[in-house]
Amino acid sequence: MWLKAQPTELQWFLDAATTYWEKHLPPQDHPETIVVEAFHQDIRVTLRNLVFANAIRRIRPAHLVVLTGVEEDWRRTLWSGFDVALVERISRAFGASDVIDVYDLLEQRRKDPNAGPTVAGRRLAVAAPLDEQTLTAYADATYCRLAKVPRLPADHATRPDYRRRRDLGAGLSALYETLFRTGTVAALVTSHVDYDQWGLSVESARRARVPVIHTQQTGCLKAYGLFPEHDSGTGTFRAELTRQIGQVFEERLWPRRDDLRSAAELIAWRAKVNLGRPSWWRGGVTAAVDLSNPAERDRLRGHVAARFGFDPAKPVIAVFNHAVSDALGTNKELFPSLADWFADTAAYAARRTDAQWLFLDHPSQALYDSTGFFASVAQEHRRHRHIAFHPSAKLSKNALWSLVDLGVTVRGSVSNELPAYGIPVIQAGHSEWSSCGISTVVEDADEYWRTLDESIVAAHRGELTVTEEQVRRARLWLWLYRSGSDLVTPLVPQWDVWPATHLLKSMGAAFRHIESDADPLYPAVERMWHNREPMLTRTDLAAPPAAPSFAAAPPGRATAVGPTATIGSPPSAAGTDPALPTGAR
Amino acid sequence: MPVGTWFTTDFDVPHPVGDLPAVVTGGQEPTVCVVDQMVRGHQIIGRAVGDPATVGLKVRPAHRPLRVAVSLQLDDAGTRWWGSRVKPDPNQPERPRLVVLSSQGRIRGAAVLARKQGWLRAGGSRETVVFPLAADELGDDDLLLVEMSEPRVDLPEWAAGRFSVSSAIGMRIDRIQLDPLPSTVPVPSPAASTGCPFLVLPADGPDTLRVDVSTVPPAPPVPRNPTRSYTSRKPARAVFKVLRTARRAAGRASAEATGDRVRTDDLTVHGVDLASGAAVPVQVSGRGTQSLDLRLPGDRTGPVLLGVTEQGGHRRERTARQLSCRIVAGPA
Repeated sequence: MWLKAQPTELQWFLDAATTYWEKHLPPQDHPETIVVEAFHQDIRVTLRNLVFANAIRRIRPAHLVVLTGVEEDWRRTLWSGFDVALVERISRAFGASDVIDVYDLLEQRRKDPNAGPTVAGRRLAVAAPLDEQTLTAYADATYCRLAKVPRLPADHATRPDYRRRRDLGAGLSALYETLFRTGTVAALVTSHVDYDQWGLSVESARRARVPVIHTQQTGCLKAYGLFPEHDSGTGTFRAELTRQIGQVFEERLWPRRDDLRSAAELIAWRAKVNLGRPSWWRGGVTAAVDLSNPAERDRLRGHVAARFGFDPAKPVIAVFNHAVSDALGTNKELFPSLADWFADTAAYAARRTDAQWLFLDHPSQALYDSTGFFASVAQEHRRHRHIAFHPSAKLSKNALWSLVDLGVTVRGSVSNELPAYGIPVIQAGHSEWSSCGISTVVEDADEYWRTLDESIVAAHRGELTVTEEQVRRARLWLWLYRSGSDLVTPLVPQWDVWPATHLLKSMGAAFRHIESDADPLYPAVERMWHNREPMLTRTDLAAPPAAPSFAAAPPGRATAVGPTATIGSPPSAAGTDPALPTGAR
Repeated sequence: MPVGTWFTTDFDVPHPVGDLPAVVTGGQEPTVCVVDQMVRGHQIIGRAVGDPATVGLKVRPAHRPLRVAVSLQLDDAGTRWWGSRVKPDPNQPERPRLVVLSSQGRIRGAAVLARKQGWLRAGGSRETVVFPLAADELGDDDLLLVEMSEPRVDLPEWAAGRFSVSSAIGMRIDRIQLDPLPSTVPVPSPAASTGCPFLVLPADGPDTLRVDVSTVPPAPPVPRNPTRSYTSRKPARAVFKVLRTARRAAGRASAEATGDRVRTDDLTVHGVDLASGAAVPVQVSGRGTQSLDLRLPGDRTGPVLLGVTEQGGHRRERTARQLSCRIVAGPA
């Protein structure tokens, strides 16, 4: 990992962590293991994995096996620096028994085919990798990401770097199969589920019926979980989650919408002024919304439309480009690739002169695309007066919301943000929230074109709108995403506690000085684990609120105190005192 | 239901509506309702981070014609903001800013701002744009929008390339004064020279005017904020500052050597309507030693950009004194 922190601060933190976890984990005399990945360079990502894994170890004693390592293409494309020794030090501080550098191991195996990983004192014999189809799919997606291209080049099969990618994938898959086929893995904790180094481990885990915990890189501690009992085996990891999240939303959250309304409204207000956003959303002065009614919107719309040469009286459809090489195929997509969706939609827009189209780039696309894809599509359609291509960073949210009548994306966050404020969105694919009834999710390409046709007609009639239910669902989703499924614990500072020295100081103080009784982390993980829930939650979503507290603010009246009725005290784990593990050393 | 119905939440406070007459001097005041590509200030309304930049004021409609006076300022911070976002050629001198103001969907006025250049540093430049609004242009629940942007029309060749691109970036809107017409409240209007051979005549300005032409020192290139880790530390920045000051002084010294003679016989004045892009014929009816008397057609609809050109062509931008003009009050 890459960590620019004071060395003294780091050592202080490692000492604090070692001491804390020594006393907070049960003795590890079981043969079970929990596999944790540490391939990401940002320490915050790995910390979330390690903390979650240790929380599972309190329920289910197991050895901690950390997989790490860095490969040349990853280092060149994504990481600023990667120090495997640092990963080892941090993992040992968190009580890891084995830290395996997988790429190093692959190198050893190239020289000596009998080399294999050593886990919990046992040398494992390397198994066969997964099938060709799976390996090819992951190699293709990873190649696109690392080469920063929107689609595989036509001659990819002959390129040496592609072949190297395939060989690496096969080697990684063999290692993962080895680890998971032992039958003693209690869980896999990973921050990503795509690309070869992460995705192939998830594949092996699922086939070996091992629960997979997918931690998120935002908030305090957020995690999704795919447990074998609920894994139908028919879709990708994210496809399975989409279904389960939809079920949780429908069965446990939607019936409670009246209790949660006040909380959801507060979160919707805070989201407008750009508070509580996911870590990858843009911040800054251009990301807060001040508009509050249609008259103000129309006034600003007149000015903003003039910038693009648009007629404010005609509907405007905004198409939000994706980071074109970002996890291709990770969930259902209607088109062969994100780039195909964008280019085909642009071609459709060129024909539909009865609407106006605003194509926005992805603010981080330089990190995902080296071919100038957006610029090339813009160049192709430059002669059309009813289409505009614009960098999204140069459009403030006020301007965007005043102009957009319909949003189009595949799985972008705009499809849960815009409907919360009354702007309809069409999704040409699935995402975490696509089963929650927030946006219009279409299931195949024909339906996609048909829905666009109908939407344009409806827009001309003034009937293109969201229903009140969609708004409520979207706001409830915002609550679930930012509050309900975001666990607050002193052991994991919020994502924005940065730079690294601040983060280490904060965590070190938690390890040294905050007593762990009723730390929300442990009961929450226990609840998720025992109930096999698809997401980690602050409180049990099914339980009604513990006690009535402040009444919801009447509309139009300012209040400084938010509602707390929905945040009950976390239920203490029956019988166990979290401060004293059995058999303290 | 139209889009915008769901923009509010239960926790939104209805926006307070300002009464007229109003003087808005701070971006945190409740009257400043909406900002687009602008950072709100405390002592000023705000500074633009993008081009175009808009501020929307929430005021109660007066059902009478309104006079709007927008005070703009170009200062050192604004020039730095512009430099870091636009990233011009390092050898390109600082060019004057031409910003066009629109409100309620139409172009209302424009301003040319150029900083006063000294031996060691440059001072700021202020300008106030005044325009009327008709009674029906501000409705109930409505916003009064003031948008700053670079001109949207193509400028003719005597003006093209002579101004900073994306000219709104970094500009400050200090205050906006709203008075129902007819009004006797004075409007702050410094009649200083523009610092460049251009000036803007409002749409409702006089048809005959006298313009004083003088010279001002040239402008060095715009300072850029260093981005690399070793260039952004203090020792490196101190060196850059010394080099910049030396460059500025050298350019000024070279300009002083070439002298500041202005021969009004060599001067021609051109005009272009900034709203339509059409050329405006400007007649020079009299020439003094340092001044020109101009006559313009009376059927102007938008603000007119006037440019003074010399017979010998453009002066060297960084090492010769530049022309500067000023409207002298009163017709010729």
